[in-house]
Order: sequence, then structure tokens, then C-alpha cells
Amino acid sequence: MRIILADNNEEMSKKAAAIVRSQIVLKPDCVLGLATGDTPMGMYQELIKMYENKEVDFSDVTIFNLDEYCSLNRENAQSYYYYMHHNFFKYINVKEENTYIPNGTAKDIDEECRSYEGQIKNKGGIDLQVLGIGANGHIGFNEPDINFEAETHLVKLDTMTIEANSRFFRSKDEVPTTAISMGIKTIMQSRMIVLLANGETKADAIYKTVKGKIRPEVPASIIQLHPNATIIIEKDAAKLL
Amino acid sequence: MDKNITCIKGGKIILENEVLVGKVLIFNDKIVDILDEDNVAEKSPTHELKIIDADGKYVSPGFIDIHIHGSGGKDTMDGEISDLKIISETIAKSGVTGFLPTTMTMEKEKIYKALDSVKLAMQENFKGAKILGAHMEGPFISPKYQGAQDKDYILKPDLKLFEKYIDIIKIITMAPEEDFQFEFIKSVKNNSDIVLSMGHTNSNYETALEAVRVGISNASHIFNAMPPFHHRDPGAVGAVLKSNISFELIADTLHTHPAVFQILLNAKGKDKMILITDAMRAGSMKDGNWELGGQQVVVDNNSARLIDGTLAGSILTLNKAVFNILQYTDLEIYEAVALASLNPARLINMENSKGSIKIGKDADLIIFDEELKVDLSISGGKIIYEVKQE
Repeated sequence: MRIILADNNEEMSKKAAAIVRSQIVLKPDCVLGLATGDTPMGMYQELIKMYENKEVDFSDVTIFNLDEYCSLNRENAQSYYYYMHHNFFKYINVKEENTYIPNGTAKDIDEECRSYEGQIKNKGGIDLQVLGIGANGHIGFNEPDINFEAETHLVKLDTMTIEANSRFFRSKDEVPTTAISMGIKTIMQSRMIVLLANGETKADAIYKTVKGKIRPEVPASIIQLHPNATIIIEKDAAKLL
Repeated sequence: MDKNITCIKGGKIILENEVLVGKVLIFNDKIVDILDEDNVAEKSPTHELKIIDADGKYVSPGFIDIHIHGSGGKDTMDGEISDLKIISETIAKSGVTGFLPTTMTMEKEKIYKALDSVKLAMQENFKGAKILGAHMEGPFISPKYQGAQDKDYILKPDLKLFEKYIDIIKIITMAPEEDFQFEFIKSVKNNSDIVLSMGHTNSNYETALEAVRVGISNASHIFNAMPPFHHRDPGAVGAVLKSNISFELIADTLHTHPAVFQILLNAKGKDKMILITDAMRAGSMKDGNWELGGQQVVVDNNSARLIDGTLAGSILTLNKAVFNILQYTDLEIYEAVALASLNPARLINMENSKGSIKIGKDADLIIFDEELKVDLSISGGKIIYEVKQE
């Protein structure tokens, strides 16, 4: 596990964007796995700047998103479909047909999970997976549990996660309680992983991820076993290291 | 897009205005990118990468020699494609990735034959320096300053004689005072992109300056084959110093005293100096007797002279010329390299695709050490020379 410390969010975002750009330069038709949330937002902004400066070309890139809430439709501003399109896709030249986000409103969620997993395999697997981390150590929506879930699956969200995400909704009642998420196996099969963490609220999770035992109660700790993982930590999140 | 990507890591990458370390140069047939070393894994799990380790040496744009007659025992005037191939392979060892085979003043039929071969050779894919066109030195020169050129074949300037070769000739070295009312200069300017370079000239200052105004944009091997600079009669040298044209320099310390390197830089700035070898067939060859365009030449201790002692072209190599500049001037490595890459590319209007390490330009790259000893030469992304490992 390669650990990179960053002085602030901007530096973290720039370093992450540089890694993504390198991946695309070296393999223009690569498959990226991307995450949502506050943490990677700066990275998307850096990548958009790079695209505008013609430093990166997404025309042959395929993108899979880690997760999506159930029951929110695409137009809902809190859906990850909306997030990705409005914060990233619409500013770059990725082809719409090369972007994949689980459909949280699918009638048959199990079937949606299986088909999503199949689509990732069809594209040859994920070359570079970008991850954020939850204060509870979740990656994607793989919540702390007594075991690791393997493939893309339906998740019941943790109360801590619902609490954390409620700031994006009018009330806690509106926060979806279920989601579709890539599984730990899906993530671990990515050829490279870049995990970003910023802010003091992530310090404990980062400590456990980097220094703790590998256990399903801290899902991110599994990354210790990945052969090509990089963790970029902003200094507040690195406090306990 | 060519997805066959190669990386050069661990080098000091010479850009136009700086030298980068800790970066990886990415290229296919063109320069694709420059990435952080940390982000290019040794053995990438996601894709096949060909990695060249520069091992702390310089990664430089390939050199461009716009004035070179021959090397490795062969001369452009020998007139065969096979001769050009040997020259191309030989100079690749000195870091030259592009060049203009240069003809001499001989029977015009021999010049035609040489230019025909250059034209055909440009289509070939030699494993050597790429032929970018031809430099025609003479036959429109001054009999007083023929140097190692043959006086019997000097002609009055006339574009019609070489009309057929307008598309491959990049430079013509000529004596402007031989061009009545500058008709030749004007017709070349109106009908072609050929660069006119004054050389082998007896021009006075006024004529030379007027020729510059009309269309001369370069001077061939400054100080050589032209009257020396005199403060009461500045001549062609004075016109070069006064105007903003570029000039070729044979920086071998024989054709030009090393003190003059810095003097010229001070007077003209670093964008106007173009290093050339003017090498002849004895270039890259051992001491002994050789033949240059039908004349006997003695190569001895880094010089090549006619029997009467006249310097007959040189046996300089371009990497050595850059090294000499570093030795005798205050230029930084990236500035000295530009004298043999970006400046010549600019003169022949190829700076958009050649002459420096810049994203989108041709992958013409060389790796050399502090002594300018070349380990590897790459032209258009293909390795054209690799030093043999012991």
C-alpha cells in the first residue's frame, strides 16, 4: 500500500487527478471505477481542467460507478447518476454509452446487480478504482458487517451512513435506506485502487484502514491486501497515523 | 492513435526552457505526455508498457544536421541511395535523428543524380536519421571563396536548373553577389519555401545586407568561405551580425576559434545560432587518406584538409559540437541542445513537428551522458541506434 500525504484538499485532488490522467494516457481505453461524495469532487474539477487544457482525453474511457441509492430516480439531485452527470460527465468527452451507474429504480434489484457485475466483466474488469471512505470505514456502500460481501449487491444502509448523508436531504426520513453497491470482491479485482480521504472525521477510519486488522467491521481495511493500492490522505485525516 | 506506448524513465528530460527530473516521457510515434514517475508503475497491472531506463542520463530532442555532406566513408555526391543509408545510420550514433544530405559544386548532372537519390531515400525507412530534404551547397557560389568546392563547376544562379527539385531542397547556399539584381533570390522567394543561405561568398557588406532584405535568411558556416570581418569592410560577416538572420556554426574549435562561440552568442542571441557538422565522408572515420567529391583529403587529429592544407569540410559530430558549446560558452544544457535541434528545425520550417520535446511533436529522442556520449537514438518513436552493452 502506497501512502501519499497531502497538505490540503487541493493537493489531494491534484494528486488523485494526476494518477487518473496517467492511467488514461498509458491506456486510453481503460476502465475507471469512480466514486461520489464530497471527497472526490475536487479531483473531478481537476480532471475537467485537464480536459479543457487538452491534457486528457476520455473518448475511449469506460466508467463504472461504485454505487447508487435505491428508489431515487435519475433526475433526483441526490442520485449518484445526477452527481456524476452534473459534476463530471457533462464537462468531459466521455461517451454516454461508456458510462455505467447501477439503476437503483430497477424492478428486479437482484437482476440489476447481476447484470452490473456482468457488464464490468464484459469490459475486461476495472483498471483503476477510485474510492472514498466513510467515517465508519465503508467503501462504496460496503458497510461494516460481520462478513465481506463479494459482488455487486443490495445494501441496507448503516444508521451512521444515513445520518452522515442526511445533510444532503431535507430530512433524515428522505434518505434512502437501501442502495446498490459493488462488492468487496468487485473492488479488490480492480487492477489498481486509489483511495482518497480528507477531514478529521475520517481520521479514525483511516487509522484502522492503514494500521488496523483486516476485518469486515472496517471494510476499507481489506485494501491492505490489494497489490496496487494508493491512499492519498489529506493531513487532517492523517492525524492519527 | 498508435497505442504502442513506450516510456523513458529515470532521465533528465531536456525541454525547451528547463530540465525535468522525476518524470517519465511517454511516446508512440509522437510525444504523448510527460507524467510523474510515481504514477507510472514499473510493471503496470493494467497495460503492457515498454520502459526504457535512462539511468540518470539526459533525454534530449534528437539533433538535426542541416549541413552534412557525408559520413562513414560515404558522400551525398556518391549519388546512391545505399550511400545515403550508410550516412543516415552512421550519424544516428551521434544523436542525429534528422538531416539534410548536402550536395557540393560538381557537374550539375552529378548534383541531379544526388538529388534524385535524396528524393527516393526520403520515402525509405532507414534504421537511421531521417532525411528531411536536401541542402544544395553551390553551384551558385563565388569562385574566390570556393573552399573545398570545385571551381570548374560554379554556375550563375538560375532556379530553372533545379526546378524539378524545389519540393525537396530545403536550403541553398549561394553567393548573393553572383545573383544579378537578386533575380534568383526573388524567384526562389516567390516560387518556393527554400531557405537561402549566404556562403562561399565574396559579398561586400552592402550587397549582403541588401540580399538579406530581399530574401537571404541564413548564413552558411559563418566566417568560413567568406571574407573575414574587418572593421572598415565588414562584409558578409558584418551583415550577419547586423541583421537578424540565423547562421550555421562549425563548432569544432578548428573552423572557428572557441572564443568566437560566446562572441557570436553575445552578438546574435541563442536563437540564431545553428550548429552543423559540415562533415564529409571521413566523418566518424579514423585518420587516413580519403576522397571528398573527387579530391584527396587527409584526415588527421580531428581535422580534414586538402593536400594544400585548406580545411575540407569537417569530421565533427553534432554531439561533439554541442559538447564544445557547453565547454566554451555560458549556455545551459537545454540552450546548447536547442542550437542543434530547435534552431535548425525552425530554419527549415519544421518546428511544429520537430526540434524539441513537446507533446504532439515527433518522437525524435536521444539519450546521452554528461560527455554527450549517445546511448540511444529514436526517430519517429523507432529505435535507430542503441549502444552495444558490454
